[in-house]
Amino acid sequence: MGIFLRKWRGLTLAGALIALAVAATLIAGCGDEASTRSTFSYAEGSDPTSLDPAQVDETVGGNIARYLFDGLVRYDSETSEVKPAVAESWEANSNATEFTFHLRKGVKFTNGNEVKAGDFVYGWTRALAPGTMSSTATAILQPVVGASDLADGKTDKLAGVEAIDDYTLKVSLDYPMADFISLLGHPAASPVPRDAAENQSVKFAEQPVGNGPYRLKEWKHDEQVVLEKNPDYYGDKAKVDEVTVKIIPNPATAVSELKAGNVDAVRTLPPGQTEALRNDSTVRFFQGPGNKVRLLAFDTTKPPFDNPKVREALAWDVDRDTIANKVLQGQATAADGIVPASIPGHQDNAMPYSFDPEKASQLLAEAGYPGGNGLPAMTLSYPGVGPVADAAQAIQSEFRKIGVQLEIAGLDEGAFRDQMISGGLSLFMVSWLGDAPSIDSFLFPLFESGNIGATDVFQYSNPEVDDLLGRARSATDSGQSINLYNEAERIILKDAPMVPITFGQEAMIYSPRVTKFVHTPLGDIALNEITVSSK
Amino acid sequence: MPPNRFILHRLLQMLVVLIGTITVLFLVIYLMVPGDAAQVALGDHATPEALDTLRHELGLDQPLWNQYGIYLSRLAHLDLGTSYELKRSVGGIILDHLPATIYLTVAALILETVFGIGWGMLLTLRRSRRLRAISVASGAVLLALPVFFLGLVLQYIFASRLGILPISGTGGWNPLNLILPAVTLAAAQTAIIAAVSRSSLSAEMEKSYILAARARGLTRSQAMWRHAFRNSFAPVATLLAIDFGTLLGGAMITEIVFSWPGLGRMTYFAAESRDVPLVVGSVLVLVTIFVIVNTGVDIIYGWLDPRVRAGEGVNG
Repeated sequence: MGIFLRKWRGLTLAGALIALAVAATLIAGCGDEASTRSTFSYAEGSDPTSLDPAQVDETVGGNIARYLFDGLVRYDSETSEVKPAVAESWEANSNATEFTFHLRKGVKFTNGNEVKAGDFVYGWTRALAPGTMSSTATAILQPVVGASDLADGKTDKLAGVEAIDDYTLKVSLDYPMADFISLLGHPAASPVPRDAAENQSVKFAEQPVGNGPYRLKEWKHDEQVVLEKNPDYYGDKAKVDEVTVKIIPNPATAVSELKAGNVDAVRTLPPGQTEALRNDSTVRFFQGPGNKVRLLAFDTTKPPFDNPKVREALAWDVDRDTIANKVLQGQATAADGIVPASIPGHQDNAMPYSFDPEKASQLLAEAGYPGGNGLPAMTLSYPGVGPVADAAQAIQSEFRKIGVQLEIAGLDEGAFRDQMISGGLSLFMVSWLGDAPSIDSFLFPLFESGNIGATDVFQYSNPEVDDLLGRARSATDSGQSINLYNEAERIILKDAPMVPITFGQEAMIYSPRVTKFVHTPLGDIALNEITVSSK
Repeated sequence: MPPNRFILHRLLQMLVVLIGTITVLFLVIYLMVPGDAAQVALGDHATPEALDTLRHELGLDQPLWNQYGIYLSRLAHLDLGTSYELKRSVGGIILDHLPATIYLTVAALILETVFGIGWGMLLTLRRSRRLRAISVASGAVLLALPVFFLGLVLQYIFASRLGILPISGTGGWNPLNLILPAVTLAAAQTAIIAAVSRSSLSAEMEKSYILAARARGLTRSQAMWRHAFRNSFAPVATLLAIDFGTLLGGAMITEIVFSWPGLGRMTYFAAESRDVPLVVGSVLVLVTIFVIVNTGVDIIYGWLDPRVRAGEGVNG
């Protein structure tokens, strides 16, 4: 979901309204059958926008789609490492431009058809085709030869993907990228059965046919989505027979429903109640890392931020610990680099700055602005309301102490995004959620100079970083690749086109009847691994 | 004005309002999202070529008048477009949410009518100063209570504490699930209806035909029921008709607190994600219902009460 808009949405929705759920047990009722069926239900704040794997681009639908569809690979629910799924094995050529996947035999879609290489060719082609209106496919499949031509409507074929036979899929990339595999657990890279997707009488987005551990049983818009265990699933079968996602927009209502025993987990907690719920003995509290980083961003082409000394000075004046622990109250941890701690290959303590206002003052003087004198009027902009606004205020008050006067301005998310993309903001706070659990998805889109005008919102360009990122992408040895990424991260931090502030933490509550609650670093509830005790 | 001309007149007025609304909404889309529709649909990673292709498909590269023409012709075919966010037909989405909203609105309206008018009658009949004071105070409280707060309090007392009513959701259209949201939605308006019906009824009770009826030996209560009530009902009915429209679109907060899958909440989230076709579509549907209901009430009153046709209109 490499889209700024989506990230903020999750963020401010949490701050403002939203949240979660209700009870599946009503449906199971009290018949004989019911007693043997296990159920789990959780509350979400909004209806999925779509369950078409090519279209899901927000967290609610994403969580569901990940368990309706299995791609070539999947992510480990604890470590986010890439694991085989429909592909049993794969190999790359020596410069990581060509990948050959060997598919497992006997994997079935829930309509009974076997999943074959051609279903990946079709699924990827369909995801990229303009008519599908996917906002994620181009981000995920962009390296594939011909992906851009297809997305631009110049052709209707995806040149870089080929079914050698029913169980062998060959993928060619435009440029070397060893880490390409780690993108493929995204729903946009799912196999899609052509006859179901092209059926005119039912929309695939409403009644998707997948190959995952669950299949869709019912979707009542703005009320609930019911999933049932896929009995023909090829892998470890889901532990719970039926999962109900209840749509409960108000978080306080969701908490009441949980306490009344009508839902088993609540995804978004009411603002300001995190601590109270953590200490509430009637519910279980979960907190875990998310793959999100919050940044204080500079437009490095605009004065005074075009002066590296000014950026460095401000970087020494961000009190990450206070913001994480006091202001955001445990919804975040202090960032020690750009790449969140939950991402495989994360390096500890990459950050060259600590909180040191004296050093900041000194650097500010060296930059030609002693005590902040001579600095132009500046505004720190941020999207939406809620916790991000509190963090902005904390930064404003620290900066003021070293003489840097700031206005702060909360903008409507859409307006913020438009201004940010068009270069209208020079100092702003923004969150980035990686498309995949990989270092690349945190460094390449944000800091590689080819992304200026799109996701490199800092207008940051450093040939050394470009070179390191390019080499990291093409290195087929994963240890070597991680070293190159780590080195690039350290250089970027020193250049300070932005200052990382916090890594996201997900906080949620669940019922004591849930015996095993699994939440992935990608932000999903691992629906197939949850276990519950019978009531 | 003769009845037929009166009806024609009202219908024409309705048409003008609708066309005005349609035009204003079109300008809002045109001015607010000049070509941005494609960007919203395709996201940040979209290439300029892909954006141009979609803009062309959506007709966004055409001049204003042509786009207005396309828009009108689509509306004429009852095509409200496709939601950016949900990628489904706006008409279908609205039809999905309309039943829940109408169900809740009608329930709230019934509560308002019964309790508001009952309250007003009670105050008219029992001219006790203490009752008056209590009534004014409780009316003020009902009006001042934020809907959000009232909803949560009712939820806490009747659902979480006493456990006699469901907390939220429709429960598959279980009538018990309807009670709390309907009471929450009706509370403030009940106080207003009570005040209006009291003053209208009291004024009617002072008129000479009531005195004459009393002189014939009717009690105050009999006089009210047999004569004053019907004649004092017009302002209350008008208020209820307007309310129907307001409630349809204004149940947003109640729908959020009670996880009610209605139109107001859907429109709120659509606005938040800048889903212009969806917002415009539901505004258009709400305005249309509102205008039709009000015109209907006007016509019915004009038919019942010749004073209205003469131009003393209850709706002004």
